[in-house]
Amino acid sequence: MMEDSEETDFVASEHDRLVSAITKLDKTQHITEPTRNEPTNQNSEFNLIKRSSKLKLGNVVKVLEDTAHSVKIGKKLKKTREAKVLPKPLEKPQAERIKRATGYEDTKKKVGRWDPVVARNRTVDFVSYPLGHVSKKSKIQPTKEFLSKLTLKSSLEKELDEIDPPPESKEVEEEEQVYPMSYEEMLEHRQNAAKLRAQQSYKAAKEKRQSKIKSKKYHRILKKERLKQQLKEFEELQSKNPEEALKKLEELEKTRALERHTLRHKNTGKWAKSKLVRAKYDKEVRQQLAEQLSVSRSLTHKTQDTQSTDDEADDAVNIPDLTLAQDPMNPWMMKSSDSNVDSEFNFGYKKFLKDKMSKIKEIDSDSEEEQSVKTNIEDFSSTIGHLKGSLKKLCDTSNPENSFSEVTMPDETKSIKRNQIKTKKIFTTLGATSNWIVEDIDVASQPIYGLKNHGKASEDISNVFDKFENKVVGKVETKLKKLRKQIKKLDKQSHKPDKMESKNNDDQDNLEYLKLNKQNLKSQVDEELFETHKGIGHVKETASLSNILTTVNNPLQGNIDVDIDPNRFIEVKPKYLNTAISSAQNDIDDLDDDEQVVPKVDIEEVFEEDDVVDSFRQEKEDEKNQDISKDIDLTLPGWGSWGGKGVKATKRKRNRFIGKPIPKMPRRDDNKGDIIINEFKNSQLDAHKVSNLPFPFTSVKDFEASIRTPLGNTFIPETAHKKLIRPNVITKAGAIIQPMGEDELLVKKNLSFNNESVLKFVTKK
Amino acid sequence: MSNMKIKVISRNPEDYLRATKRDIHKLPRNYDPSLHPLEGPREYVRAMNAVKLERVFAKPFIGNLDGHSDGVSSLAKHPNRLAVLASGAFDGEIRLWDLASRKCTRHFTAHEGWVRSLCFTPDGQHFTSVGDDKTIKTWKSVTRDEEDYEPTNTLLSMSVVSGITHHREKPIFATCGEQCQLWENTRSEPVKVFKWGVDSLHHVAFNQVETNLLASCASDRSIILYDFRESGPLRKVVMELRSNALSWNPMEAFIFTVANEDYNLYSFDVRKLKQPINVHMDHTSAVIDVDYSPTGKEFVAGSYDKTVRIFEGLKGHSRDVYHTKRMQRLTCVKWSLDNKYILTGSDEMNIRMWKARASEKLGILKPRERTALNYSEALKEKFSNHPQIKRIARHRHVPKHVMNAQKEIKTIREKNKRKEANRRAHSKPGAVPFVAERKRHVVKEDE
Repeated sequence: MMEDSEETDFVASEHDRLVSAITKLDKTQHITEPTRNEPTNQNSEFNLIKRSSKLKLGNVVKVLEDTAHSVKIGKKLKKTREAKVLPKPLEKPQAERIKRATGYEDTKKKVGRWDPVVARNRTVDFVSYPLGHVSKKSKIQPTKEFLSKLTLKSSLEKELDEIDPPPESKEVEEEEQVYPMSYEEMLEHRQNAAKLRAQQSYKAAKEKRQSKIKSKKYHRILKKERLKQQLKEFEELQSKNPEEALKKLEELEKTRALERHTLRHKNTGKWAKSKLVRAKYDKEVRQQLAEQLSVSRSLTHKTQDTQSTDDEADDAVNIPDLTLAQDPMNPWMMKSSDSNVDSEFNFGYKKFLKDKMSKIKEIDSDSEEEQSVKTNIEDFSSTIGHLKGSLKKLCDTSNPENSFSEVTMPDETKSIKRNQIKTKKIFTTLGATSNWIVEDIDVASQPIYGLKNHGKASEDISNVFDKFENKVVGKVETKLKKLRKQIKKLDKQSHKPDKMESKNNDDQDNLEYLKLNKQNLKSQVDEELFETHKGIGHVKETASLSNILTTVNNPLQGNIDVDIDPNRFIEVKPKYLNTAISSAQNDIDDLDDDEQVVPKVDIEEVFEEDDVVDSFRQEKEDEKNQDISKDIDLTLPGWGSWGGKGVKATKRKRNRFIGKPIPKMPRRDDNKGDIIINEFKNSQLDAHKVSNLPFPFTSVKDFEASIRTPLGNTFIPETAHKKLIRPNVITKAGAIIQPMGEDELLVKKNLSFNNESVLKFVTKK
Repeated sequence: MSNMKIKVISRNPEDYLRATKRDIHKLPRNYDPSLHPLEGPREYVRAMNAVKLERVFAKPFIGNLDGHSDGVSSLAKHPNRLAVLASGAFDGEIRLWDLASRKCTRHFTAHEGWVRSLCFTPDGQHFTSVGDDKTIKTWKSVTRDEEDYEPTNTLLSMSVVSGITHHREKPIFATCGEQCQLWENTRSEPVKVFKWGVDSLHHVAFNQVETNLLASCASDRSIILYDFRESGPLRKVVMELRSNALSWNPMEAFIFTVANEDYNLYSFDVRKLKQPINVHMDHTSAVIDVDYSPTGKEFVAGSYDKTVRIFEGLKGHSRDVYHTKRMQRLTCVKWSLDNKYILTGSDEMNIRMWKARASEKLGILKPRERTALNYSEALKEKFSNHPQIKRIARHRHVPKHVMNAQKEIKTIREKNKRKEANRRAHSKPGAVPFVAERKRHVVKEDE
């Protein structure tokens, strides 16, 4: 054994040597794997080649594979191995890109909060800088401090100050006290309180004044108004809150009941008694008393205003009325409707009911009309025609059209259905408010009711009608379903584009969206400047200069003799314009013309300095002369003969080449006195006209309107003038305009009613 | 005694009392339009006169601040003093000016090489300058002692710094160079460094309204938007040519305008960088600098073509053009904070002061004068589209070289248009699409 080991050792060393010798022969350098000789906790940092020394759990599990107990452990191990491992962090450029993208989105959103302010500043007619909030920040110096800077110190004072410096007033850094209310809030609160107090006092004064008024009529009117107001409120309530309305109705009824309960209008009062004494002899008094009674009767009378009974009741009343109308003494027989009393009392609760009834009737008739129109359009072929024919025969007085209300036609549009639904709704709501106002119109019963009066013919028709009705009802139902589906579809569609649009809007300029429509559009010019070099316009300028010179010289000559002939003036007759407004004024003038001598306006007197009359006549003369066409001279001086100064054209030439112009039509203002009529348009004016529509305007009409509105205070009142000429950027001289601050964003009105501290403060007081 | 008379000098109060407005008998005026049939023509004539007078009084040049011995490289306006201006020159000198008296109050050499950029701190006590010597120096704007002449703070940057901008409220400022760096007053190292891409940045500007946004112009033709808080760079727009300067609108938080090398200016909405919302043309050479008016309605641009142009923010063409014979290439422009003046620095060592509205009357106006001016202004606006008035109002004399350049640009533009039309006519319909002017100049928008 010993030998053996020695041998192997020897062999191994021999082998190593051999290997190293062989490797030395090879010139390429082999990197030997570093091997660890002794156990350490630290890995050498130069030990670059990784070899995981991890225990593979799978191998461990494999060992335990067989036993049933170990299966469980294996599963557990697997689970633990599946435990989540955090993903590898992104590559740096990618991560940064994501960071940038999110950051950008955030800033986009944050910057968007300035949109409203910017949009406002862009659209508003004028902005005054520095903006209000910023300027408030700058400290306002107290007057004392400010004034102290203005005092100059004499040299002696300065010296004294140097020797004995005055005690510096300590600048007390005032910590901003926390007040329950900010200044604005306080102001607002005060204003509110003042307003409230003022209103209270007004109301009190009004009440006092009214309570002193003794006039009964006045109070009656007041009451009437109050009732009206109540009714209005009631009607509003009905549409909004039917339950409340019901309560209100009950109240109204109660008041009416109370009135019925009292002894008013029962001829028991002082006035009635005094009248009663005289009633025996005076017919008028008797009538008055009767009227009183009739009023009381109308009040106590139970209102019968269902539709069906109305006509009959009227009929029933009318008959005795006719016979007994002669008796003025019988108040009970006086028909309330034909006395003016009723009209007087036709305002309150009664009127409301009446109106309601009439409205219902109207609605009914409306829907009927529509339906009848529809029936014309539809070709519901023979059955309808048949039915119609038979119905026409039947219906004369009663209202059979109602029967059609249910028989809707297949092609009916939504609108009509809606109408129907509306009418139904009205019926039902009314039914809910009180049970005796309205009857539901019983559709089925009415035709039968109508048919009852007529004989046998009606029976077969009713059969036909029933059959038809069944058919139609079925069809209508299917149609309705279809329509509903369509409506749903439409709704969906309409919603979808809405969403799309909203998305688009988000992408779009929020700024544009926020911009208000400018009320006074102002034309803008966004064009290149018309840039020239000084040399170019030079020739033209000299020409214009010479013109100016001549024009300057000419008036001098004219001004030499400013003697105005007092005999030459324009006699002006007053001319009345054909306007609707001034007709009344003109009448007055006409009347006054004979008596009152209107001082003649002497134009010469007005324009004492310059002779307008003369200059005008001169102008006309010039105009005329300009218009006179001159001889057409076609001679070529020097052609065929000598030319030059003083040489006249020969007779032959004159005859041959100088032609007379074609005579023109006489001028329209030839014999019209002092007037110049421009018969042809002046082409020089074209240069002053606008050829295309300027930018912010979309229609010529708008642009013209903007030009037409005058701005000067010669044409419009001073206030409007001031408003219109206000510059759109107002700056204060010497004031620094700070960039916009964040306070500009938070302009909230009515702060006081959200601020808890304010509420506390208010409640304390 | 009873008949004694006392003679008293009595005077008529009319003789010694001044006439008040109550003494003027007011004539009621009838505004019935039928009585004024010629109100339209009369106003037109008034407008014509007003516009002519405007051109007569259009004398925008106010004065000239000279003193620099090299071209003016940058200007900075004081945030709360209208009369104070700081200017830096190509020789590293900084001058402080009193604009009211048009005098230099202080001057010193601040940097070796250019003063690249200047900016005041929000309280106006200090101003910071950056130069070619990679230093960021903070100076006191008011000096009392000897010490105050030295910079209060000097920061050394690792890389070149070419632009600086201060946050509106916080003591933070940003510089640009190889990358955008964020500094805090008290620290010597940048608080943050934003890097996106390799090219250098030459201009950076803080948004004054949405105060955590800033934007910079890079020499790889791009404009980069940053949020200085956690998110860093947000987006990059690559234009066809390099943008030289950038200005944020002080009243509209999301709008900025860049002055581009391709003779145009582009207004962008931060939220829609795919295309500019407006292209402002008219310059005939590279636009070097741009600055918004404090009202945010207009901006001024200085160009290499030796002219200053004033643009309205929502319009594509300039409202006015300023030039003088001696003014050379513009290097920087500023619009004063009271919206009244424009300051321009050019490379012939002068700073010029202009009126923002050429024909505006400076000084105090009496109420009647003001209403008259307002009225004529309103009239001009009302009739602004009438050809004669437009012709007079928009007529400008420009130097010959500008006009010639303009002619050239016009022919080039026409040529391109014609060529495109021809190509469109001779190719399959739809193969040569119409591309809007606004979409042409943006190459891409990087996320």
